[in-house]
Amino acid sequence: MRLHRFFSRTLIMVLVASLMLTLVGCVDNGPHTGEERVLKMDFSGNMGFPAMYTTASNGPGYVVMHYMFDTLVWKDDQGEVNLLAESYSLSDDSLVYTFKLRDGVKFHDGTPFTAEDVKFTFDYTKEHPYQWTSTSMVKEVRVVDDLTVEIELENPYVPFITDVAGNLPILPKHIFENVEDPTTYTEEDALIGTGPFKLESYDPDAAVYVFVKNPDYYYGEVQVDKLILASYSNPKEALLAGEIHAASLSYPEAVSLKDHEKMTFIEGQSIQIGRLFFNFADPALAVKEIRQAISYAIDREAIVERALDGSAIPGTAGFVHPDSPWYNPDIRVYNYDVDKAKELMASVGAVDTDGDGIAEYQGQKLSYELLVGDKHTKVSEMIVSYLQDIGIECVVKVAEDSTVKSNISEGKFEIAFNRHGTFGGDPKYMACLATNTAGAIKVSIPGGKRWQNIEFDELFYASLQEPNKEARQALLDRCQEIVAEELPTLAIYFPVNAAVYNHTVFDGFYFTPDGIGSGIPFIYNKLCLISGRWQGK
Amino acid sequence: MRRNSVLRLILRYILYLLVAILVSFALPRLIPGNPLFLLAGDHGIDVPSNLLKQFEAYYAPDLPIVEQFFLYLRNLAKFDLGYSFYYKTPVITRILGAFKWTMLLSVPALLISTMLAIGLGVRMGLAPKGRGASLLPPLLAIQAVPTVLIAALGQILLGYKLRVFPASGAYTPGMTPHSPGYALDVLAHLLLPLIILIIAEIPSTAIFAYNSTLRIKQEQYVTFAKYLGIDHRDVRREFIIKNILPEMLGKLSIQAIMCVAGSLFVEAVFSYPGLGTLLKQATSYRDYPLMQGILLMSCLYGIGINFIFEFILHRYTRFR
Amino acid sequence: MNELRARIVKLPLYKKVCLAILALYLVIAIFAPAIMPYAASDFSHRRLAPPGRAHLLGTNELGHDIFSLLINGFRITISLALVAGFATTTLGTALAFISVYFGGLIDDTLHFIANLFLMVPELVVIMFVAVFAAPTLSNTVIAIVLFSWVRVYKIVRAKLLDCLKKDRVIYTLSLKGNFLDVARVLAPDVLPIWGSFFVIQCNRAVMYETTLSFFGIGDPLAKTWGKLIKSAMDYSNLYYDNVFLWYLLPPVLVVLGFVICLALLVTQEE
Repeated sequence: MRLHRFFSRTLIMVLVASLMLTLVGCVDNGPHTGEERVLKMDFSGNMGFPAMYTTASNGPGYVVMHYMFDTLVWKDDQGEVNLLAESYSLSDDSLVYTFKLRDGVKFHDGTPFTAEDVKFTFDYTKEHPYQWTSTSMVKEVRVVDDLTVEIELENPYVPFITDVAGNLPILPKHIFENVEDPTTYTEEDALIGTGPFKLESYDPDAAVYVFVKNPDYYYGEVQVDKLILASYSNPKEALLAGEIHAASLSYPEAVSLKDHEKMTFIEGQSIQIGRLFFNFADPALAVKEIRQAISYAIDREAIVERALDGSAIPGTAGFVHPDSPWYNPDIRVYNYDVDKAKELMASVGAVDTDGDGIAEYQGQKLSYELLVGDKHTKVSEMIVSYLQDIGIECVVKVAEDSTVKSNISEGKFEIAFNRHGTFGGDPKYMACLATNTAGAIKVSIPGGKRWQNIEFDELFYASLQEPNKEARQALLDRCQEIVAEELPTLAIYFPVNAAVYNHTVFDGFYFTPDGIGSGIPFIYNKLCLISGRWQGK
Repeated sequence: MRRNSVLRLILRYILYLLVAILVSFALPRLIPGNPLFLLAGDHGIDVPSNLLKQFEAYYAPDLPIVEQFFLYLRNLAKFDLGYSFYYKTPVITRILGAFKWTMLLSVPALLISTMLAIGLGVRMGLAPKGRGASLLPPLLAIQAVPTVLIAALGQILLGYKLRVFPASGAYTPGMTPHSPGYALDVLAHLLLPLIILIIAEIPSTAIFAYNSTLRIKQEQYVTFAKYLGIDHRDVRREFIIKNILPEMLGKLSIQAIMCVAGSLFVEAVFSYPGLGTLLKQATSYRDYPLMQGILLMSCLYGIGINFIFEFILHRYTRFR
Repeated sequence: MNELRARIVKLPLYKKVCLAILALYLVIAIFAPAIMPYAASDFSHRRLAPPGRAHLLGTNELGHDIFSLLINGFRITISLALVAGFATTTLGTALAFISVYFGGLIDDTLHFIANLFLMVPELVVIMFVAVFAAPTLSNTVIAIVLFSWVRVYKIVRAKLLDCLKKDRVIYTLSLKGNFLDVARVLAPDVLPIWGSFFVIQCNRAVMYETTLSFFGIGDPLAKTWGKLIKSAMDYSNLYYDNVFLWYLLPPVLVVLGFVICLALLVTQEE
């Protein structure tokens, strides 16, 4: 009997406890908010606390932060616009940028924004490197008066405006001067910026970000009262059900909504690249003709259609995106042609002599390990089969994405396939092919023995310091010709992004030219929410 | 004598605890490759020096391994599980935040599934002419199916196709605990994963209860009660259920662990913001400190639950 | 042979059905290359074709014949199940023998580890190990084997401790028989549980592999059933035009058939 009571009591207690757990937060005492203009957008996962140094180190992480922080210059659908800067000028020696700042700008806490904040941000990021922009080329920042600031560079750096001024969020000096370690600073005032939104709440467990508009925004009236970013396991369904109003979808999903009466489909410029890396320590891969043969043997159009559902542009050989204004259309073209590939292989003596289907070069079998990230297995499957056709055997070695990246940068690969971003805007990304790779993003630089070409190096460095646009174009044209002929790397495809939004709620989203910030292919540019129109009731 | 055995019980669990901590200490140090590279991220230009410092302060890779272990123990004593690479917040806050949602899902699932399963198992055991055995194959069939598969199919059918329940998340984004209708909203989002977890947990408990009932049924007092013509409902309550309860208690401790494990997989399917979703994110971002923390917490949870139940059983045998 | 047939005849109907289905699975796995209309690596077909005469289950977005992939999956998944099942059961039994034969500290240690393992859900531990290791099929098998022997160990050990009281065992022991002698004497008692554990562990291996695949862990090019399910679920327009009927459902049904039949085969009748 005692036992019985013991058990029933325990059971009841546990039951009550669990009920109380269920009922936590059931108190209905919030004020009713009335006719708010609430815009909900799908977001790919949890980006962490959205302050400048703590947000996730990927594109969405930057986007969630950019609603609260402004840069000196920015981009809208037409291209560059001045944001915190009213105007800027460059000295004749291309070394000193002078920014006139906008008057009357206030941080969210009411403190006025001044030249001191700009100087502070540049100095602070030297001490605490910011993952999206390096300020290492800056020699000194001088405050001329409250609204004028001069930035002097060590050497001329043409991409300074797009890459640094257009990318570096300006921090409030009065808050961050007291912050020793911004990477762990997650107090509320870490989110005080000058941007069009303030964070109302962030649920770190459910990954929900709720922003409210900054009513005093200097650049224009914000067209929504509340902005909610949350992740859904099936954004397309959520969009159709009206749970969200905008989403970045996979290409085929987005296309399937093209004719929907409430939805608008938009396709973005492609600013990423999926490409093959070769290890030049291998004698056969170091031969130009063999790389050209590989290029002829791979049907890039079929890869785009089958492995990527058509959501990409087939790769071209010059390592500059075909949509870029810097693109040279006269470079060598490699159309899918197995016979030509075999001819090229034979011309350098890479033929199958023992009849096992694998060619030999200087007595060595052309058998390689193809290193590929676990998200790109479909592409790798196709590449293996194409290379098989010309007598090159590849064994796919799948690894998790960051392992692939680290192996490539450490030179631990034979042939590798990887996809990376920041392939739009200024072609300074070609630095990854030059001997001195300064300025190129880390993931684009392979380790080990690399391709080297003195002519390319000279032309490319000259292009970085050439302020005259036409002269620079000529230099870059020649760079592309060399790359297309030599094929130090092989572009397989340039992915295209697509998004869909419900125009009956909010209209006016766009893909930012060359991406948000340093090339993030999203439609969530904050300036959309100022220039766009609220359509809901 | 009695005190001695309690002491031994406690000592044994302290040993379990130490081994679990040792395992979670050793795991990230056995990772091939350099986890530091991961800090660089997609656009990595420089590893943020502060994060690097934190990493070094926490893992102290330069110290001798024994000192590293003591440092780890010291940190644990302060509930410091390190910083998450991805979230850049203390691992412990992320885990505790997710844990409350996991509890919200798994505790009701455990209670409801256990009650339903005991009811079902006892009925099966008492069914005349062993007819209850015919229910065994379907139960075993459900038990054999991976929980993720049940969850994924449930989500497709009830969430996307029929749209009976919200198909993902724990509440409608934009709602706060102060919004009107928040509790109902949370409940609506809870139902589908809860039902699936209950379905997944019922079979093993039911089969256990069925076997226990068969055994007890043969005891003389049950047979005797039947001869006396005592109402079969009373027999069930007074003689069967009460007598299988101690055995069920042992089963419950296993079930309490299985329920949290099952909940991890159900959550991952439904993007329910508990430990399962956190684990899924940690694995896909290769956030080693976070993964290490989750592993350690699930070990501690398992050991804790076992200790509690074993302690209760220990006390209970003294009553007898 | 006759004895085996007699035992099969005595089985209840549903077990006979299970046995027949499993035999069919095995036959398909063995003769997979002959059954597959196309090579598993052949993606030259029209993509996303609905089921038809040329492609029984249509084609996927890359242009693979889904039916061929499914049949190929029999081979890979069933070999995975057999290897993992055999290795787990053997490891568990071997450790139980060692535990019982040597006793003392070795027994205490092994039993301690086993108890600890039981407190932590094994699938969670397997997931951790599989994530840390390089994504290959053999690593998946190793992770499964290393962390699921505990149940086998516990039960075989209990059974062995029972058997030790039997005359012939005591006799062998008293003659100072070595480890192998004792193992040989004990084998007839342990073999039946070894058999049913083998079946159960095969079942678990497939369950675990499916779950790991769902989390995107393991070699994505080793096209197990779990990987086929995962790739179908990753296909973005799965639920339109009933594509899921021939893309997702077949591998799901095949997995369900396999694990359920295995589970029912070893049910104890009371």
